[in-house]
Amino acid sequence: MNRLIFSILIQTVCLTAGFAQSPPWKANGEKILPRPDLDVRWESSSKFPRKVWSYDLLPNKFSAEIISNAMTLCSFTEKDIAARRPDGTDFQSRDGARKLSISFSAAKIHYEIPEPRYSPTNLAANVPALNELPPIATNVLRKLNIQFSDITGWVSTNTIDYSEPSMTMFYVGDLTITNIPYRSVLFRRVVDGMPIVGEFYGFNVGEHGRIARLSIQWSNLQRGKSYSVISQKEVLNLIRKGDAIRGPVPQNVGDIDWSSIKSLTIKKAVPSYQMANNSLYPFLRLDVLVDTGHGIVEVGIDCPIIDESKL
Amino acid sequence: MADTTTNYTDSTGVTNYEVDTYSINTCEWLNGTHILFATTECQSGRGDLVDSGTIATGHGVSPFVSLLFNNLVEGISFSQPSFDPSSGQTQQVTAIFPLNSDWTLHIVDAYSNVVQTATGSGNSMLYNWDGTANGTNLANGIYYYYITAATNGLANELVSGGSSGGSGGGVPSPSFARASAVSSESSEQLWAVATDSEDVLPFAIYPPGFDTNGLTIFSATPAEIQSLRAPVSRVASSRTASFSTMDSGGGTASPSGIGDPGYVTPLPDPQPAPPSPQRPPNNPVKGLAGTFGVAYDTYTANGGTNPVNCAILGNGLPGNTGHISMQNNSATRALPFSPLPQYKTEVNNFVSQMQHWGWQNSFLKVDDQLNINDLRGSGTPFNNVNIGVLFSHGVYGTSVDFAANQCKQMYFPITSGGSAQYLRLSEMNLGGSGTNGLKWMALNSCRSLYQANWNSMKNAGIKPYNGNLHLLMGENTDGFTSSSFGWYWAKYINFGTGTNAASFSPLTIRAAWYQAAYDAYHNASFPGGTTISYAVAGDSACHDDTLQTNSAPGGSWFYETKQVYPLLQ
Repeated sequence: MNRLIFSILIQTVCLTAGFAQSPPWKANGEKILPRPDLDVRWESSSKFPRKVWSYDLLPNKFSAEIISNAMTLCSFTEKDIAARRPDGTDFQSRDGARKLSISFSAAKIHYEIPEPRYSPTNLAANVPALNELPPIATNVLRKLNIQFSDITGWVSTNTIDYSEPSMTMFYVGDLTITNIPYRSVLFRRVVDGMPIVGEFYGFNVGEHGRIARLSIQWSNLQRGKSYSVISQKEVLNLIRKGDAIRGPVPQNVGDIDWSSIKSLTIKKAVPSYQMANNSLYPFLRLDVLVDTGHGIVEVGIDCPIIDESKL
Repeated sequence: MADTTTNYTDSTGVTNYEVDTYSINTCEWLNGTHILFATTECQSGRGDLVDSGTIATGHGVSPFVSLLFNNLVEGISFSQPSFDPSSGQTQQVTAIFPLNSDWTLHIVDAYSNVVQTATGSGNSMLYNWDGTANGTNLANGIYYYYITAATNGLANELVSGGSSGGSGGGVPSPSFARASAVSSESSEQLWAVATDSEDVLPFAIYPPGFDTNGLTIFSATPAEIQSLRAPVSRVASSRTASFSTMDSGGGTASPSGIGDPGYVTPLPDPQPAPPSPQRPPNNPVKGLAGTFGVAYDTYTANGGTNPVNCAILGNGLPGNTGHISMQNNSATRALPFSPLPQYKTEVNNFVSQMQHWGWQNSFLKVDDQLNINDLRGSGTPFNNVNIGVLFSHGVYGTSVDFAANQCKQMYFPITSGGSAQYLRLSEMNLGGSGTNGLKWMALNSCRSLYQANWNSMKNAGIKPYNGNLHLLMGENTDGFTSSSFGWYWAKYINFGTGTNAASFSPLTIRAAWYQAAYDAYHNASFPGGTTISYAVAGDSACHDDTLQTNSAPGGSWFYETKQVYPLLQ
């Protein structure tokens, strides 16, 4: 007869959002608790459209002119074609390092190069300054047939964000040498004036003003159903009912105990689209100040913009 | 066999039960009747530097549960807890079949793909896996071994051969089963008899720290002990395990059962595996991994919503005449730090993913288990693991710190009960030498690598690391809590971003840090205009370190920051 000391396994319970839930915006955050008595104030001056639509995302067989321009922007010629498919074309430099992929079905143009390994004696040369980016952006967008009216920024109120998203400092003795490998042009697509959330497009401008990365997804759109937009009062009621999700909070804020918060103040309301399952789905993104009782925390809250009970 | 886990009672008196499920694969043991029981040990304190008073301990043993194992596949065993195919090692998989059977072994990767198959027939199997899929290299990590068998009606034999489905197969040793049994029976081991008891037990079943003063301990072979006992019959023909339970306290148990007058504890059957409790893990790891340590602070000592206030910090001038201003707050204000219970999930996900790829979690310190002195100086336990991760709050100073050559630097509130005190980044001395030395450290805290203050530290000659550290990961801006960030990072450094075995392509530790943050955040609902930047500082020679290949530090450092939200992908 054997004697065994019991095998003990730690069973970790992972709480994750269900991605199969519908509507898709609910997959992006933590469901809030119902608080029928919650003090919710509307201080946003945003105007709502009267109707919104859902859209189906269709392939984009980019025009010959756009493909040619993309090749030129990314320094490719016909000789660099690595694969020509019914669905698009792949280009690759002779050393295999630079790759441009054009996909009609996904409606994507994507170009990337490996980031060079810079050093104190090998710094990125002639990277255009931030104030040199606007004319470059105008030129690139024109070549890709993207209209300024179809895009919006994120950080600023402008239609495009210009930034230095990457920086390296090398410490050599008492010296600090700074290297900026590229600067970025970033924007979001808007449809009927509503941004598609979470999808950032644009390009990086690297050494000597050359494109260092480019990424857009520009599907053709087919309107689906139209929906009446609910009122602000209905939005407030949905939040009180818990029909909303909230985004993450800064680590230094810690957790939010929704059952004990004192009030919500909606500072900004942006009718938006969520891209999921080859469609665009309308919802409302809110910038909200939460009075936790211990302080004020700014969070993002997503909630319906249409009567989803009738879907 | 003994796996352990630790429950703990926090300062609010709540006991955190870490154990939810007890499970055992009976096919990993020989058929026959087994007795299962659990032991517990509790102690009144941790015995570390702060909690250094007299430690009282207690022990408990659960009632015995008698269980009959009757499986067609029994005694599944592995020769190695982990193995490294690149150095020629193989994993020897063995099992026994009480009836002559046709058997199949499927080796399956983490994505449920069958990567290797072996088949054979007989009363036992032995298969040497070389870690490949018919000669094609596979990713390191956990692989699962599924053995199925069906009786074939042939007469029983002692052993039988197996044939490989690929090049990794080996010829079974015809003497395997017998040799293992003989070896187990003839080797000496320690036995123990308690005072006023006739029970002779293998000494190995007593947990570490068990008070053994009352035991008589002696060395003998199982055969010698067996000669003192009545033989025990085994049932080996049924494919269905039957279950029965009985209490160790006796009473109405059947004759010759535990608790009967004159009952004598029977001996373990001979097994190919070493005597309990040591035995190979049931899911051996392919490839050599290393060790990692994690500490996190949830700041929940004052309840789920009340913050922990951190004592103001003197600025190092004589006489404590001044204090450090944190992020432009008044230097004389004790800042409140909100609870971060989310870290528990985030850390659990990170730990489970690292373990999935074969890494050993050397320590996990939670809240008061983490003492501020654990992070100070070169004696930190982090310096004795390959990868260290600290999850805490973090702030940056906006006034100079005279205790660190007048630099501005970063601070981490470390709790002790319901209060906290700041740890200076400059007090750390991260980096360890040798096989288990610290190479890569992550400070998962807001502003832990705040660019302006990192520069200030560098300019003042303040280094929170030594010559052994390769890379230090952190955040340049405020970060956000995410249950998936640590999971992503662990996966990307071990395997890469792919989703099937063929896409094995681990990222560099540095690139994985940024990619994990991007993937954790890119669909999140942030207030408009939110930007998040992470950072990595490190030795330039280690810039492209991966877990699989790394370079020795050369002494020249860099600091890099990248925006992870929003980001062009």
